[in-house]
Amino acid sequence: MCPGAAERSYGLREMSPWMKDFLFTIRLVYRNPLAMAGIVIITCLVLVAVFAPLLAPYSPIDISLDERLSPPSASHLLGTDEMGRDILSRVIYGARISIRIAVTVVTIGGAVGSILGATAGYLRGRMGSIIMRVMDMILAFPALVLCMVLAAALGPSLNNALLAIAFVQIPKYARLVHGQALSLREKHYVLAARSMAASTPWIIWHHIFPGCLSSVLVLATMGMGEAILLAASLSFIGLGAQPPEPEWGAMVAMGRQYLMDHWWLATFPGLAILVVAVGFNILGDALRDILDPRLRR
Amino acid sequence: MNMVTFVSRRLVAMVPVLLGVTILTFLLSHVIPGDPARLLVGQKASDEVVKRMREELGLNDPLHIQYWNYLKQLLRGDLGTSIRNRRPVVQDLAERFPASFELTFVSLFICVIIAIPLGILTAVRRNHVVDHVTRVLALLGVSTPVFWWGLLLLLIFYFRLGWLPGPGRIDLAVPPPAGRTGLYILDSLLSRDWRALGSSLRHLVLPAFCLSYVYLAIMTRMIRSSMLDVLNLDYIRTARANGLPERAIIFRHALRNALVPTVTIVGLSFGELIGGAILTETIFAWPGLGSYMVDSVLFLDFPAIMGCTILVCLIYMTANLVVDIAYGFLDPRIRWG
Amino acid sequence: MGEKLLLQVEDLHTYFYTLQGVIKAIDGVNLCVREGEILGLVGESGCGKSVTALSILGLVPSPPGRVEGGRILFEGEDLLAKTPAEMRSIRGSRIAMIFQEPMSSLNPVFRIGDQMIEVIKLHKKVSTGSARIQALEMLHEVRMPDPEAVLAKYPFQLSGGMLQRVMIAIALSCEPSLLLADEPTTALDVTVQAQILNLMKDLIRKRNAAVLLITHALGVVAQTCDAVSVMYAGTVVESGSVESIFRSPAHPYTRGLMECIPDPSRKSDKLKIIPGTVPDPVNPPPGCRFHPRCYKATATCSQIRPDPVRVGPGHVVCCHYPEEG
Repeated sequence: MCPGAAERSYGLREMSPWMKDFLFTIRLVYRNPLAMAGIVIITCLVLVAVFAPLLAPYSPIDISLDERLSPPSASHLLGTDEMGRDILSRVIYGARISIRIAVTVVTIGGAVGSILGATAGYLRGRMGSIIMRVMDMILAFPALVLCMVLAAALGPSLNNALLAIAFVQIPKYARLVHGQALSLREKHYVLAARSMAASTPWIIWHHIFPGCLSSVLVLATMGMGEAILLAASLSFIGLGAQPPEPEWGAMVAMGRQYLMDHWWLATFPGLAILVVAVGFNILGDALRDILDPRLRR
Repeated sequence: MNMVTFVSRRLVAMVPVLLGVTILTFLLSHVIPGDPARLLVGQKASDEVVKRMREELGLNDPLHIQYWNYLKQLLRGDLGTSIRNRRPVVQDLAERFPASFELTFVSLFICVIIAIPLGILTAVRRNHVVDHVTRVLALLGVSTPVFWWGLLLLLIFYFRLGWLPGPGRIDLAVPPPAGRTGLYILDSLLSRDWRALGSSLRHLVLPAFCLSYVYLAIMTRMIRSSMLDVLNLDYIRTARANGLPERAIIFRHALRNALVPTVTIVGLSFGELIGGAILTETIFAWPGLGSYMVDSVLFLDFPAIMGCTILVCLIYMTANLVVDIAYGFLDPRIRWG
Repeated sequence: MGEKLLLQVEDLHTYFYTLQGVIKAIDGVNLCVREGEILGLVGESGCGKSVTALSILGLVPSPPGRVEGGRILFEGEDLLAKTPAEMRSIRGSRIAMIFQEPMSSLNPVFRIGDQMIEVIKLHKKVSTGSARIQALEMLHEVRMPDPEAVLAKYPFQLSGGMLQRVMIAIALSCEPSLLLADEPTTALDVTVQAQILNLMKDLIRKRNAAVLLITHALGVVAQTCDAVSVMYAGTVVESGSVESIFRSPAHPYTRGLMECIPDPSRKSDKLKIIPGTVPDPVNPPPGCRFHPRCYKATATCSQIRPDPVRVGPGHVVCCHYPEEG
């Protein structure tokens, strides 16, 4: 069924307070230095990824054996690796992979998790408890362990690693949205919509999701940082990106063999992971503070 | 007396989750590409041999029969045979377990003794310098790739400065201490083997520091926030209104209550510690479960992977059970209610 | 009841600095409590009654709150000029406080006895044994059945009414000369409310202590108090003896509050209300804060803040057009 336009505007403008809340949040983000720092780091990451071909002085893949393992210098700011590839260029191109990781994992994990959580929370009953029990089972595994097992089962490749990480992150979103959906479903505007015979998917989409938006946003922001770290860990173990892909974790793994005399191989890609993860985490941390109801009022 | 019912109820609640874990690991081991029978007999074996091996392993049975057999095996404590070294997986795990236990226990201990005072301090001195410093450290902690951090520590303190030994649990020249537990520190203390004690302690420093750094920061922040929650409660206001000194309010009234959620946090983030331990062990060639698991995964040694996973989940769940019991001790409402 | 002033609050300002702006929770409060007197502080929720009490004890949560000006004279000493340590020794011994929610006002993980003994030992510097005896006596005095057993119980094992008795016992155990009671009966069952109020009144009279009783219920005031101060939006709009205020309320707000009490003898089909709502504490209306809701308001009211005017013996009102008689 499709409720009429009058009902819809009633539902959004007068009853659910989320829009006003959301705008207020944006204003607070703007005034929070930590949040802004996070946004700056992430914006830089995106810009570097987009303009990688322009920014990178060399190709990230081409081998030049006579320049192999040369230390940082004017021509190679961060040095070269065991194949003579410019590390700076590889780190720059690695930004593209990082964004791919963050976006893929959070989109899949967040979407599937939120849908499962909202459904379980809104419907409750048998269906709801089955969904949540399965989520509990996934949570019974330490994250990295399950990622490793899944990635190994699917076969070592970056895409499989991403699937594994997304799968592992599903229960986090499901739990969060489930909890909020349980309380939102009792709100008057949801009861009102239900009394007007709005369909379940319509209510979930128009009332439950918007209500969970802000906390899912926090989780997603921090989830991106976590996804990048997990993906790098898997690549480091050998279950993620495969050489010669310029993935930062895989680069650290390669650099490990040359650690003793050629420290730059492992150091710089790892630093890149750290900076990007810091960006997502401080933004997430600041968002959480901003969205904390105790501090808002 | 309620405690007994409480604990047994929690134990019973673990059963379905454990069953779920075994189903999941079982299914996963069956989607692993490549024929386990082929892996077991080697690439050169004839198709006839592979076929016989499949028969022997029961791989031709329907899935639920295979699961049932697998479960029966598990209950007998049989985790199968490793493809890599053809030894019973249980035996491998038993050998590897003490190393991991020693590392995680020491790291956890370091975390707890530093994180609790630091968490309290930052909650009480909110927005002072210490608070900002730990906030930055905590953000760095959760954002640091453990494997990179470990390499950095190795590079600086082992390769460059030479202050501390590198990979392994003990110097190659030093014989491991005699003893049953496999915990080098405990064994060497019991057998009064000071040389082994010194060497194994020195070997423990870098990995334990590597692992606890990441975890420490998270824990400090969480203790801070649960402490802040408690400090906002009515009974703290009452304590203040009764003129109690700040010291008594923080250490007697607030801390005891803040410990309840803190204990939960320690339990829940134990999973992250296990994840961190896997990477730390890999970096420092620490002969524990983590490095065993990585090797098995890379070799597609699925009986070993499954055994390891189940053991790790069991440890994780036990940790959370211990947490629940601690909960009961800290909060009289659970003990009496 | 002596004529000596015990507590005098002059032009108190307490502000809260929040992300949405400065909330002027208390904006110029004047109060007087005489020795041995029970003063009722009445007003709608959110008008600053509790913050007034917390300001007196120096317990305004900071940040975000801060006492920004004024004087609080207690037994001739300015409490705002005291060091934290001096305030600590006053709290619980010379000024005690009890709160609205007895269920959450005691620490859930400690036994009742431990919490009582802790306070007695702190202020009276006695041994645990003698503190325990005093705790038992106090529980006896608040008419707690089986005090011995109660000492060994945890707060969650007692009912709200019992816990409020414990709170009163703790508050009075160190013989304070002033008790701040913040809605002490609001969270309790109606049947228990009167018991607790009477108990409090008895114990207070016996000790010749004074009480600042914060409440929103005029019935409680009429039953319990000697004098009343009416608060509206962070200021005291009217104060006087219970008799004169109930007989001839001079402020339109007080009058409105009185009319909101349903009178069974008067046959009317509707409950009376005061039109409008409590003003936004961040941007309060200029002039008299009540003027947007006042039926008598004029241009003067919206521009000039009314000064206190004496309308009877000990009866003061802040209104440009006080009601007559």
